[in-house]
Amino acid sequence: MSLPKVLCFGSQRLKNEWKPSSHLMKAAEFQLSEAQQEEEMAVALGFAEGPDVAGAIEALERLEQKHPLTVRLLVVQELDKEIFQQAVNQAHIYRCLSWLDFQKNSTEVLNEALQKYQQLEARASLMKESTRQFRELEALNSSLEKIVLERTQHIEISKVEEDEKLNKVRSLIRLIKDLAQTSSFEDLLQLIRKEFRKFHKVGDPILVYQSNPYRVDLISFQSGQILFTSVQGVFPFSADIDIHGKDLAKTLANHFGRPFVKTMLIPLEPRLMRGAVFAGAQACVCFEMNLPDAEIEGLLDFVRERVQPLATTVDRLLLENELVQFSYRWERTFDGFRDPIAIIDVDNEVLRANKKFAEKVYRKKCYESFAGRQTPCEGCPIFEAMNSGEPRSGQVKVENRVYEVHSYPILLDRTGTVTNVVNQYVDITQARDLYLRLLQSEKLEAMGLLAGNIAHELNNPLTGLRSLTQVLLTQVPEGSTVSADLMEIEKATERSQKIIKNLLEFSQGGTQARKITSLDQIVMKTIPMLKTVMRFHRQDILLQAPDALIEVEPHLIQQVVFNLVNNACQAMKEPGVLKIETHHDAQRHRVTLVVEDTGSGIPAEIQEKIFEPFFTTKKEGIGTGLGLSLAKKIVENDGGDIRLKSEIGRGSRFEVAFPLAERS
Amino acid sequence: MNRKVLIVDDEPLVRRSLRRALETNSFQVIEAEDGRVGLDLWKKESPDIVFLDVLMPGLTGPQVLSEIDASLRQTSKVILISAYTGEYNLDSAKSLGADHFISKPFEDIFAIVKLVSEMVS
Repeated sequence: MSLPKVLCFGSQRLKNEWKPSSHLMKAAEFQLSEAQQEEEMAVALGFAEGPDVAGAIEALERLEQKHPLTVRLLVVQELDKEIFQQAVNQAHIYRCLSWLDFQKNSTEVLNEALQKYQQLEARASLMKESTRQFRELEALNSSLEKIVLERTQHIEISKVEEDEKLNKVRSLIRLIKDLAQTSSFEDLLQLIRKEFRKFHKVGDPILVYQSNPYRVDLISFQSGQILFTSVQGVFPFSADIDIHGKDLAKTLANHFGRPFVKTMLIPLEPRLMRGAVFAGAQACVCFEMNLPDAEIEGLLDFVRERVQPLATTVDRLLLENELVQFSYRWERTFDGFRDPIAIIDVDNEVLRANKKFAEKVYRKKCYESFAGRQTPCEGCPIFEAMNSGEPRSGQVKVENRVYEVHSYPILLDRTGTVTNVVNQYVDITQARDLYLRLLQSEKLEAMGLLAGNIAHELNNPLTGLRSLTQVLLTQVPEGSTVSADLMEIEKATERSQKIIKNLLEFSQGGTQARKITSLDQIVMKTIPMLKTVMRFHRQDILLQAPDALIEVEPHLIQQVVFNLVNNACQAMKEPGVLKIETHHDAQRHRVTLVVEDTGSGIPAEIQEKIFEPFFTTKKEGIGTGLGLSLAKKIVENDGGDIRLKSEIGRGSRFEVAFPLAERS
Repeated sequence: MNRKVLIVDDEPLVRRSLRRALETNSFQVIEAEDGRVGLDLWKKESPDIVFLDVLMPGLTGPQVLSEIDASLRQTSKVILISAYTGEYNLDSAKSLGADHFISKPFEDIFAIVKLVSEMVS
């Protein structure tokens, strides 16, 4: 390490006179020269005497300017205040000493000066270091700022890009939303036009699709209106986006009767349609366009982003179209059926039905819409069919109609559980009517046969009995007790014979001759046959029209009387009063039979139906439901009428009125 | 000489009542409980009058009529009797070869006796 340098300048004499101490000589290197030095000295020691003082101060001043760190000392011959002030003010010297003082204390003074220099230098180098560090910091700072700036700019740029992207995505989402809401090809075409409107040089869209092998459908705008047309031949569909395709331009020009120069075809592949309905299904949207080549790439980007949602929508619309057509065909087919048909689920809700079943079935139970009931129809085989998984049949009665119901279970899943059933209702009212009539007539015939047999079997002994009694009567004295007894026997046999005769007449089926007879007569002939059912009740029989003659088939009217009286007796569960009356209304030229009971009465809603065929409140097997309807028919056939008055809890009253025969 | 009457009927009471009424009027009465016996007795006894029921076990009345010899048929008058009203009448009885028809039940047994007396006189 080199020693600090001390520059001694100024008065030659003083310089020469002063000898630095050995200590100083070790501590510093002394140079004797002029004040002007390039190199920085640790200490500048100026010697001056007399008039050179000012020059020395100036030299120090210059030195300060050059090397401000150098510790400046001035040694003068004689120190006065003026010099001191000048030296301090002008050259900012460290110390100003008189020659004498200097000589005495030069070692201390210089040591101090050297130390001072070291301090200054240390400070200066500290300063310098801190300045350098500051500079570095500054540089670092500025480069950081630059980075931050760059980053910010970058972020700003990417934000714009992101915004753009976001906008793109948003507009795509909007499109997809709009597409999801389209319910028709018209909607879709409008939407596509709106979507491509921003490309000014792209014309109105033409939507083309093929959903069957026979024709291609085109939907286009023609002077603002949406137009549906179709092409019989082949359309140049393409698997890829086709720009300026010649075939397309030609086909469109031929179809629309105007030139198409530049075109674009965007294929919209209807995948589901191909899979489910028609493997050759095709769809695309075509544009006429006049876009410069440079702008086409932008359009293509725009298109590529939209192809998929557009294709999906076309696919959906095509499928919906097919579905509507299937459904339409289904409805037409099933509406064409003569029988009511409905698909019914496990909760009895009607899923589908034809018009014969009911006009409106939406969310209704089958029995509500078909039968107007609140509970399932009696006899409906639907649950049996569901539980067994096998078709079942049964009969239900709706109003006056009787239906044979066939329930066919539908297997929808693989578990084998049936939740839907197809119900077919075959109206068998007429068939059943005929069957029951047949049954009735067969029954009557059988009854006739039986009655004939019984009559024969009874007639024989009765004949013998009566005849023998008549013989015996001739052999006993007249007026004797035996004679009276025999007469009673004779009368009883006669009565028995009459009953049998009536029974034979009553049971004879087929058409018999109309006869003129009195209603009273008919009633009287019938009542004996009802003795068994009548015997529990008090009988008020008042026949007061013996002269009122009617022209009827007596055995049929007997059946009417029999039915009415029999019903009246059955209506009275407890012993009651049975009233049978006839009235001759000469003024109205009518004769009326009244059959009245004190039974439970007939509810109003049943009163309306009571004369309808097959209506019965009796248990299965007891009545066919034909009695009153037949009675009505018979009576009306003879020009009469039959009426019912009934009150719940008090009883019923049937009035049968006949017109009088011409002769009476 | 008493006239002979054959009664062919499966109902004993009918036979008995007829017999009683006819016997009081001096007729000789023979009874047969079915068609087969009736036919035999007819051949053996040659009655003046035959009461012939239609429905009987063995042979029916019409079957008996078809089996009887023509000569015997000439000497006997036949009255067909039936409980089946409507099935036979006088005309159909006559076409079967009977002389008269009476439906059962009889209203008055003595009217029948009177008829028989007239037929044999």
